[in-house]
Parts: sequence; structure tokens; C-alpha cells
Amino acid sequence: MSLADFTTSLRPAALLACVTLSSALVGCDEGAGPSAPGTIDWEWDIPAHFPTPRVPAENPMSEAKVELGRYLFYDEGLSDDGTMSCASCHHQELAFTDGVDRPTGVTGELHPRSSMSLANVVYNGTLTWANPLLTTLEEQAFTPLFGENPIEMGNRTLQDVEAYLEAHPSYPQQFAEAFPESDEPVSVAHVLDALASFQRSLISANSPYDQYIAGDTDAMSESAKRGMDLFFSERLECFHCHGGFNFSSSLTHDQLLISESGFHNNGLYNVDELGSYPANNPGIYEFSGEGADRGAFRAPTLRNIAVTAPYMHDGSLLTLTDVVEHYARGGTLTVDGPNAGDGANNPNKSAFIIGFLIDEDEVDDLIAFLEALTDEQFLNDPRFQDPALDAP
Amino acid sequence: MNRLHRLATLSFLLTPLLVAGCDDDTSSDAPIEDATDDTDSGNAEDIDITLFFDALANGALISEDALVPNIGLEDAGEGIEGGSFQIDDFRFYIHDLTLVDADDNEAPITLEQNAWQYDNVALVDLSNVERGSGNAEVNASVVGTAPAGEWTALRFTLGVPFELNHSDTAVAPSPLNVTAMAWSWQGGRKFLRLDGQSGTGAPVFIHLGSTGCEGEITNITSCQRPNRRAYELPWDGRSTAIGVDIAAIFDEVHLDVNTTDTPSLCMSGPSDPECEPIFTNLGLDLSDGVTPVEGGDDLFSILPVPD
Repeated sequence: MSLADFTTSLRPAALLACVTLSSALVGCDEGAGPSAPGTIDWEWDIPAHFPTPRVPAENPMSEAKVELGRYLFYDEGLSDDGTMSCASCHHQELAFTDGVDRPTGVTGELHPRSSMSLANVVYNGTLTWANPLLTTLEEQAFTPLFGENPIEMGNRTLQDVEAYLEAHPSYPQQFAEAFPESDEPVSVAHVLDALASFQRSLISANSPYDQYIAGDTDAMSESAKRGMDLFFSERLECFHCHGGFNFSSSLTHDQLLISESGFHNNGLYNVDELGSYPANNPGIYEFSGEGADRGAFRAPTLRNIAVTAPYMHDGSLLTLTDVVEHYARGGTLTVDGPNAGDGANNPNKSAFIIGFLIDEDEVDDLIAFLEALTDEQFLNDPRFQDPALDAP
Repeated sequence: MNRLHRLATLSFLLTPLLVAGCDDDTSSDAPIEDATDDTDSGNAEDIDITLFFDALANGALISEDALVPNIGLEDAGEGIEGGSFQIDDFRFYIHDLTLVDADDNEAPITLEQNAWQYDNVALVDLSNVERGSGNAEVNASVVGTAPAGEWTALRFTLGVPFELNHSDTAVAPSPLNVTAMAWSWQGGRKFLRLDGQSGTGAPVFIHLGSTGCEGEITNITSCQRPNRRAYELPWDGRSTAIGVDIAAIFDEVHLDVNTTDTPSLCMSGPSDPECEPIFTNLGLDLSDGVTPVEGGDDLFSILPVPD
């Protein structure tokens, strides 16, 4: 059974508790004036050039949920053998990636794909590298916790996890505070809700580029400004798949009523010169069965990209220079081995990736711009850190 | 027949959005907002207007998913002959829809405000192909009201008006916040986006938008080449279907020939040779983006009501 089957076909009964959360929680804070949709006592800390994030009505944001989610995110007790937490593959200082091409789970099984950054994950049109159906963080969190193919955190039953939470010295109280209307606050469904809420709070909006957009003309170097012009040029075409305020064509937010999903084949592989991708990573073809979808993956955000090496869905490109060379060539040539083939000739490759001429100074400028998307405040924000590091 | 002339700027009654005390619709499948009841806000003699847009090729309806023959020219190895084209993405904005009578009196069509229509602008999406930048949604109808009258013609402009065009896509109201219709980062919106491939596999992008824009990204002051074209169609007050003929866009255009280092095929570059015939077919002057030229007559057509 593929990972795809698992995420779409199994629906544990406990998740129904999530759906029946009282809709009375979604309402107006009549004392303080209208609050953002999908929030209880939560204020989004976003600049004017960011739209309001979308939050499912069933799981409105609250301070208590976000805080509980932070504790759960860093808790290795949420894995079967107590060795892994979400943070094991999502390190804050790497914009919540892990610095390796592909991670392994508690049994040592290698995941086919690379950990994705969680910066601004609330704005992603769909979640994970190549799943057009996965649209909420609540659904997504179930997979690393209970997935079997591959085994990630390795939990086998809901009861295992709930027993751990019930026996914990502080969780029962934290769950009760985060889910005050519920008769059974401690549940896997609420774990997913809290993890989703914490992840939604991971907003990265204060890079030098953002400061430049907000009016600080000195926030980016001259080289980065030249790189920005290159990025948004028709010669390089980067913005076609990595455009918009979040540098990704995969987008959702509270005012976006027309979907933007953003799956693209960027010419990374061409196995047997027939357009195929390696069998363990066919892209969204796995869902649609349409040949032209072979090798189509979600274009991730480029925010903080300088700290999220290695690159691509399988971590096969090691540096930003490698990435620029890949696009300048119009695709990657794999010379030998089982995946040999010239990605530049992949028939399903996006038509925007035809290669381009770029000189060394321009490569430096482009990379300077990509580095200007690094948000140091986000990488060090104590609101997102391991609670063990909190000041006593 | 009245000649096309520059539209007068009309102020018209904008139906206000219903604003509840608190917005609690946060489902991830947010439905299109309910329209206000237009018949209450204006003249009791207002008529309801729904215009359906259909993709055509050479006057015949096409399936947007198919490889359509007899489009432009291509060289399949046996010399240049009629080409074929498969649509990946086909969307365009229209604004300032207006009804005209035989004496050239005009009345605006007040658009219903919803996910696809904001102010006097509507986004039409005729492709459900989800490859690349395309999305699954289709929006083939434009809905509004207008005063009753002896109307003989329908006018509209292809594009987004300047006052709305350079707003920040990220925080603009729908349908102006569609990233795929944003034009790089300061140039406003793509007025028309027709992406696809020729029968010979050549990529084809037709992106129409204003060029030569000046100012800061947060404050564009003007564009040297607005590239907005108005179209006028005879209208009998009954027909509701408008054909958009993609063969007309590619008339005499080589789908698989592209000058090196220029977008493939035309993204409104004023010095891009492939844009010359494309702009002529749209009825636009490539060099100044303002002067209407002969051409563009076959792009939009009123489809007759079946008997």
C-alpha cells in the first residue's frame, strides 16, 4: 500500500471528534470587535503585504492550541520508541527542514522524499511534495505519526498515543485548556488540531526582501536587487512557479477563492528518455494516472531557501549553485545508473524551463537575492522553539 | 454600425457587498459569496444579464482538453501547413461591460460581486486543465444587471482597468488575487493568458498585459503601452453566448517558430517579432498599445440563439 493510499483511505474514528468540535467556538469576539476568520484569541502577526491565512472552521486558532502544539511538536514521546519528534526532521534553525537529502524513521526506513520547510506552511495550496488531495495540516499530521509506508514516527494505534498523553504530568491540563468545550480533550484528533495550529503560527515575513518591500531601500544589497530583477525576468522565468509573496505558485489564503495548486515538472529526471521519473517518486502521476503528470511536484516556497539545502524533492541537488545550473541548462543530465537520462529532454517538463544564458556575476546576484529571503528572526524566534529551551 | 471609439468613463451604481458583523465563513472550500439582490438596489426595470463564454476554433465549439486542428501554422516536417493546438490554460479579464443602443447611448452592466467578479472586472476561465499553472476551476459566465432598453450592441474591454491593475496581487480581492494571472511583480495583471502547445510539441504562451510601466512597485504611475482593447458586438438582447475564437488569435501565426531569447510565443514584448501578428489579430498596436487597429473582429462573436 503506498503512502498515498494510506492518507486518503484510512479515517480513524477518533478524527470524527475533530469534526464535531462545537461550531460555537467559531464566532465573534464581540467585546474586541471583529477578529480574523478562524481565530478565537489569536492575532496574526503579518505585514501588510501578506494576506490573512485560511483556517478551517473546525479548528480555529487560539493561543492555548498553538502552545500545546509547540509542546507536542518537540515531544519525542509522540513516537513509538520515544526517539523522534516532529522536530527530528523539522529543525527551526533550518527553517524546519533537516539538512539531509532524505530522512529516516524510527525503524531506519528511508523516506523517498525530503523534509519540507514549515515556514508559511499555512499558505500552501496543498501539502507535501506531490499530493493534490492533501489540503489541511490536520490531515497531514496523521501521516508522520502513524504512516506505515514508510514508517516515520512509528505509532501503531491511537490508544498507544492517547495512553501516553493521559499519563503525562501536564498534557491533560494543557489539552483541557486548549479544548475547553470538549468532553474528551485528550485525543489524537486534538493532537492533530494542536499540531496544525502550531504550524499555522510559523509565519516567516521579515527577511531583507520583506523589509525592502515595506520601504527600506537599503535592506537588500545592490547585488541582491540585481538578482531580484533576474528572478522576475522573462529570461529566467523563476517567478512563474516561485512567484507571489510566498515565492510559490501553490497558494491558499482567506481571500483566495480561486485555487492555485502549482505542480510542475522541472526536468530533474528522464529515466529511459521516455519522460519517466524514478519509480519511488512519480510525482502527482501517482494520483491522476495521467502521463503528463509524471514528474510533477509542488513548487515549494523559496523563503529561507539558503538554509534548506539540499534541494529538490529528493535532495539530489546539493547547493543553490547546482540549482541555478540545473535551470540554466534546462534540466539535469544523469549520466549513468538506474535513473540515467537527460531531464532537459523530458517531454512533460514545464515549458518555462528551456534553459537560459547567465554569467558568473549574474549567478552571484541571483544567489544574493535568494539569500535575501532568509528571515533570521523566524529562525531564532523563541515562540517557535523547543519548550525545553524556554527561559525558566 | 457605430464605429469603436474610446469608452467614456462612467460612474455607476456598485452593489455593496453584504458585510456581516463578523466573517465566520472559514471553511477551506469557501463558497462563492452570495450575491446581493441586484433587483432591489437599482431601477425596477433592470434586466438580468448572463453572458456565457465558449472557446471556439474557426467558428466551431471545441473541447478545451483536445488537440484542436486548423490553428495557426506549424512545420511537422513536411513543410509549413495548418497547425494544431492544445490548451493548458485559458483565462482572461474583461471590464467595463456596456450596452449600447442605435443612437450610441450607453448603459453599464453592473456586475454581480462574487469570487470571479470584482467592481467592473470579471475573470473568465475556459480551461479545466490542471497541468502546470492551470487550475481545475472553469468560469464561463459573467453575471450582472443593466437598465432595460433598446440595446443593439455590447461593448467590453479586454483587461483590468489601470486603477485596479497595479494593486498587490497578494492582498487584492478575488479575482484580482490569482497569482497565475499576476504579471511578474510590478506590471499588473495578465489580461489574457493562453498557454498550450502546438501539435509539434512547441510551447505556446500568449500573455497580454501592459508594458513599459513606470513608478515604484507600490505606486505605478503609468504604462507606456496599456494594451487594452475594447470590442463591440452586435447584440439582440436575447443571445447569451459569446464565442472566443483561438484560431483568430493564431491566424497566420507560426506556432513553432520563436525568435531566440524571446518568450515563446508572445508576452507582449514590444520588440518581439512573434508578437506582431498576435497583436494584429487581437486588434492592438504592438508599438504603442493604444491605437486600435483593424483586426480583432473575429476574436469575439455573439453565438446565435438556437431555434
